[in-house]
Amino acid sequence: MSLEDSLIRLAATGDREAQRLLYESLRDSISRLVSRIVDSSDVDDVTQEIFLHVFRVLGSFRFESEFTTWVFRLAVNDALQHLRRKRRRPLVPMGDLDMPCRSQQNPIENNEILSLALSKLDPELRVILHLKEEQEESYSRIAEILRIPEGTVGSRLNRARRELRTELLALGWGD
Amino acid sequence: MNCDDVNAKLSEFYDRELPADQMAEISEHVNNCDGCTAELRSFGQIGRLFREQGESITASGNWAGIVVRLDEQTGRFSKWRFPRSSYRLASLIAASLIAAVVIGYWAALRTSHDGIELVAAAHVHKTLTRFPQKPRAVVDELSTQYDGTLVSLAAAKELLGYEPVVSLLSSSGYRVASTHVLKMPCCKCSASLCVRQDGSEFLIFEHNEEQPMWFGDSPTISARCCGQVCHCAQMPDQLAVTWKVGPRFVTAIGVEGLDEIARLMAIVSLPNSAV
Ligand SMILES: [Zn+2]
Repeated sequence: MSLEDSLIRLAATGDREAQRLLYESLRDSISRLVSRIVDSSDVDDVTQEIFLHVFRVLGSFRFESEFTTWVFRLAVNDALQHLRRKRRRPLVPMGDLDMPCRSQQNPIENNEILSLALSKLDPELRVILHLKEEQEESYSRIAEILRIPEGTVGSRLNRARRELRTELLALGWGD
Repeated sequence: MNCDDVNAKLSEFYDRELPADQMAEISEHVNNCDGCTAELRSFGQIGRLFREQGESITASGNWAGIVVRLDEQTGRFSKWRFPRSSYRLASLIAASLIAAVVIGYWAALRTSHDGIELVAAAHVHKTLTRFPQKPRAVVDELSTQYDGTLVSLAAAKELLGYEPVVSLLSSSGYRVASTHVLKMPCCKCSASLCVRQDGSEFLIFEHNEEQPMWFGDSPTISARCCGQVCHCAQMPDQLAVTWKVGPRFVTAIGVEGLDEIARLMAIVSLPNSAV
């Protein structure tokens, strides 16, 4: 049994120390993933809920896939679900009310242009871009995490990159 | 291959996910087509943007918050509630014997270990949490797990190459009930079950390397006591403390309170110059 396997088994019994070690090894990548899907104000809460969910169902992990793939898949699902629930009850009209004024009055800082452009894409496209560009995952891992055929990864990335480019250019990218 | 064919596979080409023959075919087309070259270049620019700006995302998280929720779910009592107030770290902090308190330094050390030692340390931690209820069972369990040998203090000296510091305790109202030499993944160490005058017990380890993981996620403070830095952890129903004695570390589990920490440190510590 590998070190990771024993740690997972120990964490599944409720051992806090093992859970903490798993949490620490995954925290950065999960919270980065989440921050690409949900509003920045929700990142902490959603990340916490994801870890609680992971520990709740850890006993059902069968060691058939890689552990991180399993966790990522769960995290993507939970974050997207959070988004859907939130969209179903919009308290304030969402949209880009303040965006046009903003780009005219104070030019967008160069370091926020990517986040801003990404926020205009479909969540599914944001996720796949994050997995490829920031987590540097292979197509087969991305397919496993998103539960899509491997052949679909390339075409979805094509669409994601082209839509992102359109949004970036609209925000004055490269001016 | 025309531009449409190439565009349909451009991400796969860019990400090098195609078989060699298709990579070559697309490469040849792109080299001779300004439109496709521009398209490919824009993918590269996007990749660069991610590399430059992706790092600005700061990871967040709050383990303590997760523990509280996990405890709620499992119906456990929170670790912070203690039957005896004398165990509270707050009283440690307030105590006049401890001059300077630094929170966090010791905790930072916890991330610096890895490998098989981490799992072993998690096991040790789990075992030690049962010490207040079943001290002797914990000693037996550690001995079984880590190939323990029950020894006299003289024999321990043979096995370890040094005389365990617990030998100093017997002249100060404590009794050493047993000493085991354990083969931990980190190092060979000694574990001595010590008995107070009232018959209650505590455990003293002497080891070569610092073992912050033994304290698990218990709240820990670094404190100065008797002119020496020690790390105290509030484990469920007990205090644990570790400090350096000469070239090694001494860890006491099942300590009753501040007074006892101070007493133990005064008895066991050697003047640094003596080493
Ligand atoms: Zn072309």
